[in-house]
Order: sequence, then structure tokens, then C-alpha cells
Amino acid sequence: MKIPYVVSSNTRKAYSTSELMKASPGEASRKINAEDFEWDDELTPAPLTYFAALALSRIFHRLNPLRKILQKDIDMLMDLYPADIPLKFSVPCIKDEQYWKRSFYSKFPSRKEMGVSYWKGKFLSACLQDYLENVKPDIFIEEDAIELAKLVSPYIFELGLNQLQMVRQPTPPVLSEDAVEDACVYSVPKVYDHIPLEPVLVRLFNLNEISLIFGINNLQDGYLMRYFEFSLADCESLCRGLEYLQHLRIFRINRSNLDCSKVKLILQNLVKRESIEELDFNHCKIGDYGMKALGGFIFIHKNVKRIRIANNRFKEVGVQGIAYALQMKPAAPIELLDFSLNPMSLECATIFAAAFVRCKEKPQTLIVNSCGFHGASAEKMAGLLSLNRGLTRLDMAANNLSGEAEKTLIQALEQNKRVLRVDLRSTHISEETQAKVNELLERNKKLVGQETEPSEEIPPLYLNEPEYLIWEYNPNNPDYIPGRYPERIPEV
Amino acid sequence: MNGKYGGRDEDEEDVLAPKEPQVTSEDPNERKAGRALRIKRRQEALKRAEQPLEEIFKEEEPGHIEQATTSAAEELQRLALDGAAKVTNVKVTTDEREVIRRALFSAKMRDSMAKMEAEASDSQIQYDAISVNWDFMLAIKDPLDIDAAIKEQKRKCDVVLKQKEKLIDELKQDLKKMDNAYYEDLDKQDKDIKELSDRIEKQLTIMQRAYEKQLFLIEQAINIEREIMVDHNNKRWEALYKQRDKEEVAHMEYKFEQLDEHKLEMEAIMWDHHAKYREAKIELETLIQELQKELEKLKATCIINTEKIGYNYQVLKKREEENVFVRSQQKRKLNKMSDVANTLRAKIRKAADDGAMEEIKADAEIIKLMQAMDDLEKKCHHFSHVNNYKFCQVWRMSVSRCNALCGRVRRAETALHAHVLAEPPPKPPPPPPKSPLSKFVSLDPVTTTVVSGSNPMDGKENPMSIAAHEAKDRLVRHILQLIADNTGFLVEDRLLKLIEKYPLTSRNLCTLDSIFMALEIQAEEDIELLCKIFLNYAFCPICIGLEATSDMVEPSSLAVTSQEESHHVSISVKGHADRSSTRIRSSVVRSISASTSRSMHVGFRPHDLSAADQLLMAEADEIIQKCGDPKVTLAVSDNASEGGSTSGKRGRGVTVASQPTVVSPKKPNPFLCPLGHFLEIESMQVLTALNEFMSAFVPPEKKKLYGILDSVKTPDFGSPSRKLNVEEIEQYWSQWKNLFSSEKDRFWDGLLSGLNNYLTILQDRERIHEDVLQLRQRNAALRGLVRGALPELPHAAPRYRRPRRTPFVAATPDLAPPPFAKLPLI
Repeated sequence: MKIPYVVSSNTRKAYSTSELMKASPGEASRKINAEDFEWDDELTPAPLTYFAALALSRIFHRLNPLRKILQKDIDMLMDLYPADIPLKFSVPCIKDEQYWKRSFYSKFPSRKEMGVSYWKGKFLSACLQDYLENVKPDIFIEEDAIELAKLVSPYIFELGLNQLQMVRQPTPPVLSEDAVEDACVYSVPKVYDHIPLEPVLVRLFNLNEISLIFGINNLQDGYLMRYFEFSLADCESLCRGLEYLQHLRIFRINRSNLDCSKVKLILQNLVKRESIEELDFNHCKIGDYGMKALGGFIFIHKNVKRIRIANNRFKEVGVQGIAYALQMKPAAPIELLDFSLNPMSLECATIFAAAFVRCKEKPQTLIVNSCGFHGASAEKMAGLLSLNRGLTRLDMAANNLSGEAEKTLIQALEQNKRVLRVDLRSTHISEETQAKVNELLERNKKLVGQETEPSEEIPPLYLNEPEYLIWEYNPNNPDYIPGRYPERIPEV
Repeated sequence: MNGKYGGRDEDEEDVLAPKEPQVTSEDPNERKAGRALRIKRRQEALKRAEQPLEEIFKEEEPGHIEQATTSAAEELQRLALDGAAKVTNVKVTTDEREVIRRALFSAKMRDSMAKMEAEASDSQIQYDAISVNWDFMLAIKDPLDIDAAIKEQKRKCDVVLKQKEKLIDELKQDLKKMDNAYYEDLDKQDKDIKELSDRIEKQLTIMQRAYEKQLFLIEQAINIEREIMVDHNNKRWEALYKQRDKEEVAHMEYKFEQLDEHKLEMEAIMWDHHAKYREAKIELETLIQELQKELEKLKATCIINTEKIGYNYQVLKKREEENVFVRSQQKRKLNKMSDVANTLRAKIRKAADDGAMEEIKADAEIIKLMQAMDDLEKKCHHFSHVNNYKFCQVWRMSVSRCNALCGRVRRAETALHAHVLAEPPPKPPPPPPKSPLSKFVSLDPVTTTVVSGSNPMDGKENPMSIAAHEAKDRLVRHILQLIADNTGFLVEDRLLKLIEKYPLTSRNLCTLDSIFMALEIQAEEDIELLCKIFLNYAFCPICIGLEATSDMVEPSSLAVTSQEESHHVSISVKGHADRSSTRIRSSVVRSISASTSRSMHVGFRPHDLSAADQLLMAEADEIIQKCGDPKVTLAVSDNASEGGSTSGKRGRGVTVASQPTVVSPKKPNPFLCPLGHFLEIESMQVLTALNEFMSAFVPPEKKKLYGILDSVKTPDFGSPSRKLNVEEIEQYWSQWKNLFSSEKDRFWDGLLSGLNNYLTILQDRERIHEDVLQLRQRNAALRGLVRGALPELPHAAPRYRRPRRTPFVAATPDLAPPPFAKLPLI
């Protein structure tokens, strides 16, 4: 007897008879085992229902029996239906997760997925992704894409595109004998267009999360620089599509040639979407100008929580843009900022310190891994912990914190009772410092949930009193290390 | 026994039952304690439920499983964090490397850029030097020099080129190095990735192992706890078993003892029973013997009885037969009677049918007759009208003829006087007599005007005042209240009981409804009538006292005036009901103020009371009249002498009321007393008033009948012509006849005879005249004959031929009016 998939293997294992019981003198002599479900697998042919289901499974496109048969037969059929039923028939009729799981693994054997809770959406999303990644823009038929999108749209909550095909570069006209024409290859305008995403995106009304990578994978010898460009027209099409996504929460463009003008265009459109929670532009080329636009976005938007801009080639000006937005106490409940892999100077560190000293509550997490902090800049970054009370996690891995910065870090951590995690790997700090840091972090972890006196937290002397305005203690002073104060003189 | 039971109980309690006071126990104190304990426990449970979960966990001693799971969770978390750190270490190192690379790259970039720029400036200087040289070369004319110069230039250019090439080579080498570094980096990346995957795998295995270990630990903990629990439970079980055994033994012993006791008891009872049984047996046997004796006796009496009953049976049988015979006879009679009844019933039905038929027929006939009557009436009317018309025509014709004759007579008279008597015309004759018809014609319009004239008077009175309305409403309400209070006998007792609990107004409504039903009062006019009648009994409670005092002060002065006035007032006011009513009212007021007995006398008809009561009343009345006010007695006697056109009470009322009527002759509001107070009625007079009302009031159905009877009046066919009687007509015409006096007649007769005589003379003279004329003519003719041939003499006109005189016309005009300028209209 075949046990339907709805009975999970764990259940069977849990309810199976233990060996001890089987070996017990009363049980050992039994001939008929009621609990043995596989006794007839080799002895008798499969039941007639199985064959009927087998026959039915082959003609699903002609006959849909699902509404007329019993649930146990449906369960059986779900194991039997081939994965290649056209989506046109299967999508509206089949709700069963098992079928979609099977289909997913049979159609995309190379993809390994973990923790999938909704296989139908996953499968359909993968189908759409497969179609969009591989369709050639020159032979792209919009109607087909629209049809597919319409069919799958209610079930898709995530969409990730790891590559997008590009249009063919038009070649100069073939030289004829008498005509005088410009046959130079370089005089033909370059085109970097991809398929328009708008007609598809417009229909995916349930979409929560979208990840895009403009580029082509597995090129091998056909590598061309132009394959990793993308045009403003693509951006515009994308933006028009985004206008219709009411539930979009996470927006990612990674590893793409996303320069400042494109990111500005995208951000201008996204700022109208109140639902956006995460922006991820890792490994792009936003640059200073794009960072300014992002600062404006943070300042205006009401809901954005996480911003990732690792490896984005920006300098002091860009950092200042973001820092300005943070200082203005934006309405958005920002939780995480990821600046890793952007080489930063002392000035950047100063700006950071100023921003985080002034904006004390908002970001809970700051990631500045591998930002090239060293010496004074590292000291500044470590020192900002002494005045900030919002951060619970500071990642500073792969920065050079040796020397003075260690002491500053310890001092700052002694004053800060909020921070719970500080990543200090490959920072060239001494073992003692690491041990001390761990000790202080343990202290902070134990303090979680306990109310602390606000006066204890931040010394009022250095906040809104005239001392704060003295340039010496101004966070914007590049020579000033935050947290390093003179002895406190009690006010009379 | 009890001791044993108790012992067992103690044993039980030792092991099983908690030593707590039980709610189910017999001892009340223990029950109380048990209840208190229960309440306390419940409160504790509630408190525990309210507390957050953590505290509960804190309170409870953490078991093995909890300890194991928490430690496992901590351990696993630590391991997971370590693993994650290990795995991400790869990324960190690569990142760090990348940072270093970038720093190196940027430094190198800067160096090479500086180098390139230095080289560029150097080569620029050289190039400038070369390019400056060309100008000098142009000045050189010698080809050899030119060649040398060119070579020199070329050399210099080569140097620059070499420098450039060197730089390019260096850069190319840098590129190569970077390529190599890139490949190395790629290798490193591969290695990194490999290491990453290795670490991940390692981590996976580590985690797997850790999980397995923790699972094992948790299982162990579970097993340990299970064993502990099993041991614990086994111990409890064993204790229970032991206790059970003990109890069983004790119970068995107890049972055996009981059994022995039962056996002994049974034996004693058996003996007892046996003795009793024997006694009973002897007694019963003696009883049986006695009963047998009695049985014999009974048998003998039974035989006698059977004989008696047999005889009775025979007699009854005979009677039965007779009864059957009588019954059949009765039945026959009954049949006959029913036949008769049926026939009678049929007859009655037939008679009823016939009656109905006849009725219908009579109805039809009546209708026919009515129609015929109508026709006849119409015809009568028509004929009377025609007759009247013709009569009038004839009348007018004769009047006109008379007129004409009169005229002629007058004219003749005047002519006579003028011509014959040569006198002024005589006095005109008297005017023609008045037609008796004309008075009928002129009568009708006058009556109509009289009728219409009376109307505006009513209209004037209507808007008199709103106060009157108000007063009236109030009075009506008062009257109705009185009626409702005093006529309980008209209402059913049950209804009264039902409406007892409702407020006064609704109760009144109910009672009034039933009273009106009983009295058949339906329309508003009936209420008006009621009000009017009750008004007679109304009095003003405020004014009574005043009046009484005033009366007492000046009785003598008023006595005479009131007597005098009473005459003419009673005469003048006869037609006005209102005024009399006011007087009556005031009389009632007086009577009430004076005494109740008189009001009784006023209120009740004599036949309402018994003879003794009447006597008593009469006496009381007399006494009061004598001592109260002598004026009233005088008035009574006076009224009695007058002939009692009004009833006794009214007469008395008149005498008293004369004063207010005289003092204020114009009384605007009958529903208020003269001083404007509201009137009231004494409840004792309500029944009297009601009686009066009932006599005056005609219930609507009867009224309808009366109306029908009234409407059937003989039609009036009287026309003016018919109304005239013969004497009138004769008188009228005789007046015409005597228009000219008999003297004139006689005068005219004399004149006629004289004239007649004169006529014959005149006739003779005429004849003689004519003879003369003839003779003259003959004479003339004869003379002609005589003369013959005599010449024609001039024709002389005869002297006697004078012109004809105009007839005589009266010199004085006739002043007499024409007898009838116009014919009288009918």
C-alpha cells in the first residue's frame, strides 16, 4: 500500500512499533502485522484506483477530475501528475503544495531551496524568472509575457532576476559599391536596452520583494563589456512598472552598472511607494551624487528600515548626504545601514561620528566592514559609541583598530550600555582588548530589559550646554575624538 | 463494631485521604473548615493564573528536562554563533584583502600617474626644444647643414621616443603584474570558496553532532525523569496494594463475626415465631366454627328472600307490560300532536310568507299611490295655477272694461256738462276700488323680509365673548361630572368595579358613555338641551351669600316693586326663554340658599316621593315660607291668582328674579352669574334636572318618526284667487257699480228723457227743413221754367248756407285722473 505524502515521514517514524515491542515474546510469533503497510508491495498488483488515477493524470488538460473525486484520490493524483502540465491548466486548478514542490524540483533540478512555505508561488516565480531571464529582447513578444504574468500574478510574492538578456548591437550598414555611407562601427550609437519590465511588473500586484541584476551569467568566451550596462530606458520602464506594486517592501539591484542618474530616477519613483522597507544597492556604482539622492530619500520617506549600499564608490560628499539626512531626524524608522567596502577617509569618519552623535536613536545597526578605517578615523568610529545610544550592533570588521583606537573603544564601551554586538574581527586589536570588549558586551546583554537612568546614559554637560558648541568638542571637529572629554565638573 | 469501622477509617486516611477537613463529613465544624480551605485554594489558583508565565516557571523547581533543554539551547546558540563567525571570517578576510588591494592599487595608481606626468612634462620640454629648432633650420641654406640638423633633430626625437617606449614598457609590466595578481586573486578566491564550503560542511557536521548530542542529553534527561516517576508511582502503588490487603483481611473478619451474630438472632426469632403460630392456629379454628354456624342461618334467610323476590318479580313483570302499553299509546299521541304541530307550523310559515307578500304588495301600492298623489298634487298645483291665472285675466279684463266704461262715463259726463249744461265739469268720481287680489300679492315679500331681518340678531350674539364659551365649557364639564357622580344606578356595578383604579377623568368618560347609552343621548344638540335644562338649576355659590344678605336688609322695599314688576315682567318676557331661565335659575339659587327642603320641593316631582314624604315636605315648605320671607308667599299667592300659566316653581322664580332682571336688563352671558362668577349646580338637583330633561328630550329615533309625520302635510293648493271669498268679490264689483252715485243716475235719466224729447222736436225740424229745401229747389226750377229765356242772373249764394261750425269742446280741461292709468297687476 502506498502511503500518501500527506502523512509525513516523521509521523510514521514516531508512530511505528518499536523493535523492543516486536521482539517481545507475545509479539514475535505473530504472522499478520497490521502495522506493516508495505507487506503487499511486491506481492499484489496496485489497486485499481491507482491505475485510474494514473490514466487521469495523463489527460489533465482534457479532463479535470479534482472537484468530483475524494480527497484521498486527489492526494494520490497529486503524486502522479506530470510536472509538465501547461501552466494554463494547472495554475487555476491545482492548489496542492506537493504537486508544485515536485514540479519545482523536476523543472529546476539545479536549484536548492530551503524553508519554502509556499511552493506554488515559488514555482511560478521561478517559471516567470526563467522566462524573463532567457527571453531575447529582439524576439520578445509582449503579449506572451503579459499572458504569463496574468496567469501567475496572484501567486507571486517574490521575484528575483539574476540576469537579463540584452538587445543586439546594431551593426553599420554593409558597404555597397557606390553609396557613400558611414560604415564605422563606432559611429553607430550604442544600445544597452533590455526587455521592458513594465508590462510584467504592472500585473504582479502581490509582489513584495524584487531583486534585479542587470547582466548575463555564464558568458565564458562571449564576454562583452556592454552586456553589463543598462540604459535609462530600462530604468524608466522599471519605474513605470513599480508604480503599480502596492505591496512592494524590498527592492534590490545588485552587481549592476547602476550609476547616479539611474539611481536618482529609481529613487524618485520609489519615494512615492510608502510600503518600501528595504533598499539594497550593494555592489553598484551609485557614487556621491546617488548618495545625495539616497539621503533625500531617507529624509522624505516614512517607512524605509534597511539600506544597504556596500561597495558603491562614494566619497565624503556622499557620506555627508546620508549623514545630513540622519541628523535631520527623519520620520523613517531606520534600523540598518550597511556601508561596508567603501574606502573612507578621516573626513568620512568625522562626518559619521557627527551624524551618529546627533542622531542618537534611529539606526540600530551600523555596518562599516572593510572601510579602511585606521588611526585617527578608526578612533573616531570607535569613539562615537560613547555618545550614541541607538546602536545595538556595530560591525567594524577588517578595519585597522590597533593603537589608540583600542583604548578609545574600551572607554566608549564602558560608557555605552546599549550596544550588544561589536564585530572586531581582523582589526588587529590585542587579545586583552578583545577580552575586555567581550566582558563589556556581556555586561550590556545582562542589562537588556532593565531600565537605566537617562541621566546616567548621556552626560548632559556635553549635549546642549555651551560646552557642546565649543569646536573642541564639536563632532565635526576632525581632531576631536568623541567621548574623550575633560573631567566632569559638577554644576553648581 | 464501631471501633473496627473507625480503625479501618484511620488506616484509610493514613495512606490515601489527605488529612484535611472534608466538605462531605458529618461534623459541621469540619464542613466549615473544609469550605474555607476550598475557597482559599480557589483564590490561590486564580492568583496563580493571573501571574505571568515566567514567574510560574521561576516558582517551579526546574526539572531535568527543562534544565537539559535550556542548556542545549544555550549550547546550540553558542555553537551556531561560533559557526557563523567562522564562516563569515572568510568574507572578512577577503574583504580585508580587498581593502589592502585597493589601498595598494590606489597608491600604485598614484605613483604611476605621477611618473607619467613627470615623464610627460620632461618630454614636453624636449619636444619644445625640438620644435624650436625647426625655425633655425629653415634659415639654414646649406643642404649639408640641413642634413646634419635633421639628423640632430632625429636623434633628439629618438631619445623622446625611447623615453616614451620605456614608460610604456613599464606600464605594460605593471599591467602584467596586475594580471598576475588578478590570477592569483582568482586562485585565492577559488581557495576561499573552497575553504568556505569546507567550513560550511564542517560547521554542518559540527552542528549535526551538537544537535545529536543535545538530543541524546535531552532523551537521557527524559529517561531519568521517567524512571524517577515510575519509581515514585510504583512505591505509591505498592503502598496502596498493601493497604488493600490489610483492609480485605479486616473486612473478612468483621463479616464472619456478623454472620455468627445473625445466626443466633435467627434462631431466637424462629422459636418466637413458632409459639405465635400455634396460638394463632387455635384461635382461627374456633372462629371457623362460629362462622359455619352463621352460614347456616344465612342460608335459611336466603331461601325466604328468594321466595319474596320471586313474587315481586311477577308483580313487576305485569307492571312492565302495562307500562309498555301506555307507552305505545303515548307514542301514538305524540305522533299525532307532532303532525298537528307540523301543519300549524306550515300554516304559520305560509301566513308569514303571505304577509310578506302582502306587505311587498302594499308597499308597491303605497308607492304607486304616493306617485299618483304626487301626480295629482302636481296637477292640482298646475290647475290651481292655471285657474288663478285665468281668474286674474278675467278679473283684469273686467277691471279694464270697468275702467274703460268709467272713462267713457266720465267723458260723457264732462261733455254733457260742457255742451248741454254749459257748466264746468263736475267733481271727479271717487277712485276705483282696491282689488282684494292685490293684498295677497303684496303679502309674501313682507313676510320674507321679516324672517331675514331676524337673522343678524343671532349673528351679533355669536361673537359675544370667548369667555362665554369658556364658561359654557366649564359648566358643561361640571354638569357632566355631576351626572357621572349621581347616576350610578345607570351604570353596571361590574363596570364600576373595573374602572375603579383608573384616574377620575377616564372613569368619568366611561361612566358618561354608559349613562349616555342608557339615556340614548347621541348628538351634540342633546347635550345642548341637557345644558339648557341644567342651567335652570345652576346658581352662583359666591353671589348667594351677598344676595341673601341684601334680601335680608331690604325685604320690605323690594316687596312692592317686585310684585308690581312681576306682572309686567311675566307678561313682557313670556316669549323669551332665556330671560325666564335666568330668573328661574336665580329662584333656584334663592331656594338653595334659603333651605334644602325647599330645593327638594323644587327639585322633585310630587309623584317621585311617597305620600308621607310629600306631607312632610309640604309642612316644611309652609313653615319656611311663613318664617323665611313673606315676600315669597305673597308672590306665590299672586301667581296662583294669576292662573298659573307657568308652573309653580317658575312662578315663584319670577317674583324673586325680577330684581336682577331689572337691575341689569342686558345680560351678556347666560353661563355666568351676573357678577361674572362661574355657576354651579347642587348635586341633589341633578336627578330632578335629569328627569326634566328626559321629559323634554326626544330620543333621536322617535324624533325621526316625528319628523316623518310632520313632513306628511296636506299640500297647500291655495292660490290668491281661491283665497277670495264671494262677499269680497261681490263687494268689489258692487263698489264699481256704485262708483257713480244714484243722484247722478237720476240726473242723467232726467237729462236723457229731456234730450229724448228734444230729439223728436229736432227730428221734426229737420224733416221740415228738408221739406223747405225741396220746396225751394222746386221753386227755383219753376221760376226757371217761367222765365225761360231770361238772361242768366248772377248766382247769389244762399244766405242760409253758413259754414259748418266746429263741434263744441269743453273750455276747461278735465282734471279727473284716468280711471286706471294702468291695469292692476295680478
